[in-house]
Amino acid sequence: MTSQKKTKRNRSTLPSLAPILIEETRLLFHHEQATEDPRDGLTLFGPLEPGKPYGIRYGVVGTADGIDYLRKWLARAQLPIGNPDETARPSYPGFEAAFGIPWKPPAQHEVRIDGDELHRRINYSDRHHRVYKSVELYEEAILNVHRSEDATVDLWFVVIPDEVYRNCRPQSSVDSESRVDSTGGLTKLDVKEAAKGQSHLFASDLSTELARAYDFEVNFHNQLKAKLLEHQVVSQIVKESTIAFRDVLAPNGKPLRDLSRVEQDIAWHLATAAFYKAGGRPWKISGMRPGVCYLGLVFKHVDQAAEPNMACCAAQMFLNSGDGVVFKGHNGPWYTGRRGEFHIDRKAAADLVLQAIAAFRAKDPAGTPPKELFIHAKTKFNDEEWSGFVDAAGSNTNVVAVQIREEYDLKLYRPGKHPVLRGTAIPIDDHLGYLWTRGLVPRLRTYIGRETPNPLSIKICRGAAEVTTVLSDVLGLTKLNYNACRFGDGEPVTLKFADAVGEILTAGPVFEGRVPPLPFKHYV
Amino acid sequence: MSHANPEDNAFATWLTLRLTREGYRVWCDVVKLRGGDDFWKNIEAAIRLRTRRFIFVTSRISNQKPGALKELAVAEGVARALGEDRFIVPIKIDDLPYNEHNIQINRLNALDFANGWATGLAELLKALRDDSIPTPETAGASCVASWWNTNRLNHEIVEHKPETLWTNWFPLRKPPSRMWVWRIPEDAKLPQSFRYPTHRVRHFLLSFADGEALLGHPGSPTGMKGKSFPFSLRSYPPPWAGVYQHEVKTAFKKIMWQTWESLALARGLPLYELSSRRRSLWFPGRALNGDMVAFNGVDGRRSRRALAGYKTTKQPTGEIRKRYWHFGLEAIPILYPTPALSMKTHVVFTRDGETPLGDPKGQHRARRSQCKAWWNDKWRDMTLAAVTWLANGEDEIALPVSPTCSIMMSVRPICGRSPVSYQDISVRESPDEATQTAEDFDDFTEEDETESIDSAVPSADSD
Repeated sequence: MTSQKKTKRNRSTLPSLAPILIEETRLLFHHEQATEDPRDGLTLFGPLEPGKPYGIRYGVVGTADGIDYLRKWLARAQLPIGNPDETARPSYPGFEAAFGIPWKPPAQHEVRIDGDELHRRINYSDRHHRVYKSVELYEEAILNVHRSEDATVDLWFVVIPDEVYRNCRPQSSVDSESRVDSTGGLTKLDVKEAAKGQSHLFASDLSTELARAYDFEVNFHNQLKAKLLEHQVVSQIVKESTIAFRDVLAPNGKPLRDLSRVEQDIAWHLATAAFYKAGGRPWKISGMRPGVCYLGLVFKHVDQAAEPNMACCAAQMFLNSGDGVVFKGHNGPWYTGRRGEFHIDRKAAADLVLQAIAAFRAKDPAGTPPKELFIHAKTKFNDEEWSGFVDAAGSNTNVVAVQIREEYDLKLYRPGKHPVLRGTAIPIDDHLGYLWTRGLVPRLRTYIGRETPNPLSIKICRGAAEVTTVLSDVLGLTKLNYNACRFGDGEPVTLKFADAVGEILTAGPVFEGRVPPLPFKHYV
Repeated sequence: MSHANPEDNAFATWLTLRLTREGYRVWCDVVKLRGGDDFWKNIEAAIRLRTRRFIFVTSRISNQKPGALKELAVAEGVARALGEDRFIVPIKIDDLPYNEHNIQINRLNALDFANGWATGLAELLKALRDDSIPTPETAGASCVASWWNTNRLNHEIVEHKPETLWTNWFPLRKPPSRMWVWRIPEDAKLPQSFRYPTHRVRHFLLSFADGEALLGHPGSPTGMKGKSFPFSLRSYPPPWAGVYQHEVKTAFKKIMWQTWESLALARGLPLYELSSRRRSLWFPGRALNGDMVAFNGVDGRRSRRALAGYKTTKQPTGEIRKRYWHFGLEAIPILYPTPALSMKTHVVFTRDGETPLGDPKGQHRARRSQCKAWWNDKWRDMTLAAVTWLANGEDEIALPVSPTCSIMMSVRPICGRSPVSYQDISVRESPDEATQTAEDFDDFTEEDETESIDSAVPSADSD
């Protein structure tokens, strides 16, 4: 009664687990020198491409305290930070010593926002309104300067009190003592009706504003990024307690967060992110095969859409050079209804790949298309998507579709006390392998993580590639996150930010299908 | 370069490598870039005969360190003999005031690195260039990379000696050769439960047990006539069975789940409902009588592990309370590359050894604080001990799926030989700090919360 597809796998009946160790990826820096840890490379050789000689031009927006905290942190970031005896946390040598360009106060623009007003807004009773109005305060402060001033800046630092972080995320709630009624008694239903124009009774400014607020995700970070994207403003959001943990105190008088052990990490992260967002390229993967292009697929269910299956699709393209670009695809009924499962149609799939190949050719000196195109996704791929990818790739590009998920059901235990080495992998067959991107790192002589590490499950769903090559590439892609500066992430950069990018693209009605391909730095 | 060893090693290493990168040939006792060993045999001769510039790293430490001061004295002599004013280049790296600099250098103008290494380096390079100090190192950068990658990546801790790695996959043997299927009529009311595991998919009921075994008397569980078909996880069911292969696989998984839960209940262990709606068995105090559980360790020797324990915590009110922890196992059936049960570890917390703390957030916080120093060996051994306890000393656990058939789970998990290994002694432990990472500051995702603060202060531990 059922016609079932033939499986292409050669499945052996007996389990044969043969762990291997994938060699750690090295990164390339200035002077064409390579090493494993980006912090070592920057300290010894400086970034791959020198930044702008004038250094980093930045603006800062925050409360008076926030601006002051950033000023102080930046003064501190000129100097070395860290304990040289801590192998696990490489010391930070000071910004200019690592990046070869200055980044010194004062900021080109310091825009103060009223702390009392911000405090009021982040305690609004309605969560949509709360986030919308808090974002507005920062957004307007930045855009006023952005529109009127001649002197542009490379990036804006958005310094937020920790209260913004606490109150302006999807699950946040405000305690009743602090709550400020902001809806003037309007119910959600009133707002919805006002939005549809079905009720002139509430067609006030407030109801219009509320209706707009309801169009956006309840997430300060993603909403602000989405709104700034339209104006191509690059930003770095940072909590006050991150840059001034000694000054931001809990009611008991102790630091809200004691970050004394990770001060150098914070310096490395923020300095690298600032250098990258200001247009510098800190490093790239060393010895990568030429002509390779990686595409991370992004899906996000559009909650505000009328159709229940409406979803946004996008792709993040990464080259071995570290260049990252985000393309938005077509919104459509891509959501299958099963959590985390999305499928696009043939046309949308082809469209994403066409955009990627065009961008690749634009960056390639000879204008050639990529030799290899690896498409990474957390979801499976179906026939229709695959056909679309292959249609678009043509005969010059070998397309491979890879599903990558964190695997919670497999542990690998060593005989000793400490976990397996990062880079340990178990190829199961020609299509499936497990890779430990977290584990003991010899350079750091420790395992940065909790309990025991989980592997990634990496499955070549379509196309032809050596499983060990794919595993090795994924290990390399855990080292291309310029929004931080650490030995390696747990996830490849193609997927690490997939959720955030998806949320930004759907954070609100900012983009009605009109987002130009933009550098990745706008999204992180 | 003379400096306080070990206190100023990090700076001296950095400066040595940066100068090397620029083409200078630098000798420093922490970075022996070339021929260093011969050189260090007679440091005085080296300073006298082979040195163009003597860099003295001035800090609060080096200013009083006999070794460094002795080298400085030699350099001072050489400078006098050569009549070379700028032979000694003092550089200042901390807040030691100029007027406290060692007498031998306080008349010299120290270059200031204390306000940023980059500014100091720029001044130093300018000074060296102005004095036409030669740069014989033609491949300085690659020399630095090669030294660093040889000496600082700690690759030597990875030994090319194989070691066995243990998974948490416990293989299953002897799946039954046939599976039963019954059609379910539209208006049928099925019994709440059966005597053996079943799985309902669309309008079919699947089981490895026949109707009589399921009901305890002759009959059909659905009222319709049942059929049995050859069961296989690798090949398709016959078309007349009416079910798809993926449905058969799901049925196998669901049946294995039920057998695991039945095993727990048969051994007197409670089940804890997880946020995923799945359930984990766990070891309450009464199950173990406070005893440790014996098992065969990975080294082949008999070992013992506690599967429950408690921590005494002091509340902010001053009250002393016990918080019990209990090891738990959730079995997740996997089919590929081989049928097995994956043992997922959990820890359940109680106040009295019996009743789980109701609040999932509280459980999560307790796990963060209790398990922060539980590493590879502890999770591995607790898993092996728990499976051994469940097997009651046998080599296999029988998971009955029908009166005549049990699927057998081995107490030894699937292992693999890794081509490399390392010694624990090579690891620098920093349990608390290693787990504290500065999060991506831009990260507003809900699940990436920083460490929850457990207000209770641990005062004593007891396993």
